[in-house]
Amino acid sequence: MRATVSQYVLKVHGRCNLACDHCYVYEHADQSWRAKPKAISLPTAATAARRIAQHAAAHNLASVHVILHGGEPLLLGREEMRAVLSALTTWITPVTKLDLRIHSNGVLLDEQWCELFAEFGVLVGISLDGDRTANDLHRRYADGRSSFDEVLLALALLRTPRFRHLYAGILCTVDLTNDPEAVYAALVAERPPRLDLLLPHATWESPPYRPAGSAHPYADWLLRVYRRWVADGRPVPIRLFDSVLSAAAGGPSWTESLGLDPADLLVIETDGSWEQTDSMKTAYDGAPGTGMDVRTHSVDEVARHPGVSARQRGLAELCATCQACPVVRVCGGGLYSHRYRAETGFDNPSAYCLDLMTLINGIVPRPGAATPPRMSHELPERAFDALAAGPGTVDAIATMAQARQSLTRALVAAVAAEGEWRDQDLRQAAADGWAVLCALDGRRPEVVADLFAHPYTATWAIRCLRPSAGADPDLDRAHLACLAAAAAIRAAEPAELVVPVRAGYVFLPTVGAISVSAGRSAQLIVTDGRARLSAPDGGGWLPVRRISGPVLHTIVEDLDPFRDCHDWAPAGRLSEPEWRTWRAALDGSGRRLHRELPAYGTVLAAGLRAVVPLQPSADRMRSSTARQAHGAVALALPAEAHAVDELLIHEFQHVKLNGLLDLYELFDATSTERLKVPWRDDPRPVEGVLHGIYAHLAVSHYWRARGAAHRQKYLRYRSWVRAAADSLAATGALSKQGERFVTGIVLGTDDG
Amino acid sequence: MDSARHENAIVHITDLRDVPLDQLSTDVAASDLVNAVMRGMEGPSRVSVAGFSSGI
Repeated sequence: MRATVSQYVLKVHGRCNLACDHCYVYEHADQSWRAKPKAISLPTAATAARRIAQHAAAHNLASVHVILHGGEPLLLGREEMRAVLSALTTWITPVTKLDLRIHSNGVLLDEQWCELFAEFGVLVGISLDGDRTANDLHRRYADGRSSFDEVLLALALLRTPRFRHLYAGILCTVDLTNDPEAVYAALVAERPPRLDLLLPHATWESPPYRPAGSAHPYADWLLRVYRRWVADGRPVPIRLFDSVLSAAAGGPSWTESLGLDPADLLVIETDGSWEQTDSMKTAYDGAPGTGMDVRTHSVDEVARHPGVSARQRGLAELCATCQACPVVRVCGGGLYSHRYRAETGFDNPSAYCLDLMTLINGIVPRPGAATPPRMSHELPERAFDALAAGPGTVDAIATMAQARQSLTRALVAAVAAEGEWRDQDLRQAAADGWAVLCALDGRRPEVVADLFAHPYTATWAIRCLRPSAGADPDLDRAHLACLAAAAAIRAAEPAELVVPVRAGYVFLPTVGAISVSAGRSAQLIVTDGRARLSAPDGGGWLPVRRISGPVLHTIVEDLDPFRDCHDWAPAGRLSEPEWRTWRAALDGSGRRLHRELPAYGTVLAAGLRAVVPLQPSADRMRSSTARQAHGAVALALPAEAHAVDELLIHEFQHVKLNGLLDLYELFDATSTERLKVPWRDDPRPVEGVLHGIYAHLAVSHYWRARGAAHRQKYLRYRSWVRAAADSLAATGALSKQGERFVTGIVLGTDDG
Repeated sequence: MDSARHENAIVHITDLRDVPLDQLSTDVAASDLVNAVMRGMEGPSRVSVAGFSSGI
């Protein structure tokens, strides 16, 4: 059977008057727009129209759809647009029905434009991401101005009786930062005939932003909209939801993002080149290209292009994982572009696989609904290389935190399953706490996720599973009830729990501690987000110390009983003057690093969960990082402000490398080799050297950023990195990934 | 399911964020992860990498 094409995206203008930072045309992998003409010429448009008409006539198509697109298509100008519309109408309407649409950002739309569109019957779709806050997140001018008011004027114009028949709908790109119900309400208020909710374009190489917590945050977001939409009586068609319901019932999908219907769409660029679906611009530079042109190639010829024809084969084109999946007939493997991975091309599930499956199961619940496939946490290669070069990226830090979240969940569950107890009261306290924690995990997963992201939750669990000599295992394990109480406080849910007492306090991680006059346990009552003891005595409250921006948002951890894992003894509870000093020092350091070393400062701010004050040393600076306490650094506060910057930069490199070592075996862990290093006299193990060069790389960047006055320090650290990296590479103890990492470090020592 | 498979130096950590907590106590993948973490704590140089020019 010969493939037919009935949908065409005609790029009439290749530039835009907005500078939306999520735009796939300009901000993603494909940059071919730079080499293309700004506007389509009339001869090119006429040739495209002729090709479309010939194809429609040859295949006796009942209709064709042409979507005028950009950039921003209204930049073409009214007279030029009239000429293009005339050409399309002149060629196509004699042979088939022509459905004309335009997709605009709306800011230039006025009555004259609407009159032109009314003349040719062009339906108008407008991009809007929600209310003002949501829309202003991305949809701005290059100088930062909001486009919101102008877009609302355009939508108001389309609602007038004169032009209402031209109003096609609103397209909204999902951003997890926005409240889904607020976005939905704002969009419905514009009374569109149809709503499109679009996932932001992403691939396995550039994965979607995913905050720690849910494994399918986009499904969670969309399902909140879905539930509200159903509760409201479905006041407007939402293409995504309608397509899920239709495809699940065996019908068609109305979006190329879902379903197994053959892809039936081609793009004509401003230079006349034929391209595959526009979203492929997100995969890699040149991805949508076919090497064909309207002047030299017919639609039939383009339809035989391997990339185009592959997308007409339905189920057969999908990877084995998708073919075996119970929801494949609904999701269809997701948007083709979202399946891309450098190594395997498009032969993969979607980068949104878990989201799509969860969304579908949420909309179409049925007995025996599919269990989502278990995925592994994965760091894209580009993120790996960016880490090797020194600062890394916020996305890489997020991936590491997500992997740690899975590890911590497993560790906490293992503690809860421990069977041997001496103290039956504490055993019951732990069991009750576990039940509360599990229930809250179901109702408020973000609260439990944040609690588990605290570095000393995993540290506590490991200590329980591997008790040290002299430990009190029952008391330690009963801390499970403290975690539950802390979660209940933060979720503002009521709870009554017996909790263990240590050193006269009940410690509630990430919240605070309550003094208790006596005993090994106490009854704690949580109401309205506050905790109190049932007994009248005690009750003095020590809140957790938090630094809340503008750059660093972190806990200064001077309470948690499991923070003592940093080789040096932690300081005790800071006095109020000490706390003010710490707060000022860390806040100032965050601001300076963000200003003076932004690549490092940004990643630090994204990943630093806790700073533990250490007892100071009289003769040297002290700082430390522990592998089990991901996201935490410990330090004794130095007197000189800039020294704090250096310590944080240094230690956070250890945090990053420890996170990377969760995901990769960079070296042979059984190696007993010891290497001579420039920064100390005694030979060091392979892992120590790897940590050393990675930390010193960042410190060299720090001193380089501080200018010529510190050049000698910069050169010294750089020489240390290079010399020790050479030694490390010569050991043969590095894995291939380890070699790649060390090579990246050495490349990172190049003068920027 | 082997949740901590090692292929080409990549450690596969199974994503457990969506598995209900109360199921993890009996989850094979979670158990594998716990075993891998505890084994990692026993390595000759992996217990605690720490320190400003002390552990490195």
